[in-house]
Amino acid sequence: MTNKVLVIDDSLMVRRQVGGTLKNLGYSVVEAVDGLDALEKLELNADARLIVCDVNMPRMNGLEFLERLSASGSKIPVVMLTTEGEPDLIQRAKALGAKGWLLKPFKPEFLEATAKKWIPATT
Amino acid sequence: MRIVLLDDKKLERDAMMRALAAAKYHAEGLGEESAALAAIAREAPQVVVFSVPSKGGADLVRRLRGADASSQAYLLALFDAAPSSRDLAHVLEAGAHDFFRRPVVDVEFLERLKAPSRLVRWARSLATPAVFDLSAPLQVSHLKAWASLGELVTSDLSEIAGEAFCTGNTWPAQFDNDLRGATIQMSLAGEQLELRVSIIVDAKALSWVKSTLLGDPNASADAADDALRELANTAGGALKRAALAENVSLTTGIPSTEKFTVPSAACACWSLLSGAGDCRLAVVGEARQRANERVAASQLSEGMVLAHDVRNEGGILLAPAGSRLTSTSAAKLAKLLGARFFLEVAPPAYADRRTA
Repeated sequence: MTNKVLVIDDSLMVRRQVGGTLKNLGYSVVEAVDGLDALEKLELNADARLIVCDVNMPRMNGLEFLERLSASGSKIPVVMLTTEGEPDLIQRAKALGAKGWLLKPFKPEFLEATAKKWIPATT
Repeated sequence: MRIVLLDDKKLERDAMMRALAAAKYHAEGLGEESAALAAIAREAPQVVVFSVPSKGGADLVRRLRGADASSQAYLLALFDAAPSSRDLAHVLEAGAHDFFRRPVVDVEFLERLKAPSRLVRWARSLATPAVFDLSAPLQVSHLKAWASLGELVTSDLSEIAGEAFCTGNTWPAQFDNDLRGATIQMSLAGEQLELRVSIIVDAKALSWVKSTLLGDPNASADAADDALRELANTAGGALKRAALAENVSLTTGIPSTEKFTVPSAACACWSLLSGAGDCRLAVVGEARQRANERVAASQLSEGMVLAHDVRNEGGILLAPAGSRLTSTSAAKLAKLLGARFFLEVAPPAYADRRTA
């Protein structure tokens, strides 16, 4: 069974780019368009091994999603992928349990390294 | 960015051309000086990289400069491993802007090519003050990041496109009037000022977006709008990070897509051009004064930006100034604060225009 990654971004183009890169690396991908959608998708995909999450999204943003995920006791590692680079925001995400912060524009090699770090090949 | 590379050592030239191609530069590699002079005269490059001969290096620089009708090409000299101080001085004195030495190391070579853009930003920065009067409303024209928005976003948008753009400082004259684009709205907490950054395309450039960014010339209008919104989002992020370096914190919204007309003279415009001179994208910056609104907590909604910190009765910070509300955070604050609590917010001016 392939390792599953949940990709949360309100941009279809980003979901395609990130999802395509992950699929090429052998992962299966589930997409969500914002934090609320992601919480619903997680109910059916609790076996996800990694979450890649945007910050600025409508309805429920990335930090609000992190807060809800953290409160649920989830242990799935979350890596933020965003244009934001404000240190306060990064610290808030870290405090809420985020494991990484990738800056857009999206760079496939950084995502690959991140995915391999949080989804070791031996598992 | 168009580059002309003059190097009579074929193996070295080929290796440098491969490095340039991998970095998505539009480059022309030539082994003969006469061919290089003709290429420069035919179409002025932004950068000329040239191998300095053992004799007559300064004269070569003068001939290269003479062939450049724009007089704006950046001249990067490639020397042998150990040039004499005298040779170096002569070539620089003749007009070369920078130099590097053999053996050519790709990472150093490509980094040297970024210097012209840095210099442009630096030169512009000299024209803008570095001191703000904090007792008066922020003059956005004093924000260096705003003044150099076009150059600022070029690098990130080039990366998304997989193509090195050069930046023109005007609205693209070649654009037709069938314009579409995406705007990201940004606010300054506490200031009644809204900054709008738009990425605009005409029909031809929209086709390029579909075929290059989406990989599908027949991509739907919705998919193309989504790509434009992501470009605007990326541009907004670049501006926000640069503004932060000037201690100005901007709040970013969610990009919206709109039909556009040619911007008014009040807007600042840039063109992002391919190496062949085609305009891929226009970047437009507009600053607007706008009045904040006073609303009951129960009326908070998605897209509103808090103009001040919001604390509960115990003084605990619930949301800092500048927070852009989502429906989730608006509902949470409404529940915590109740209907009798009023807040000052910037309105969600474009939140309802996403599909316009």
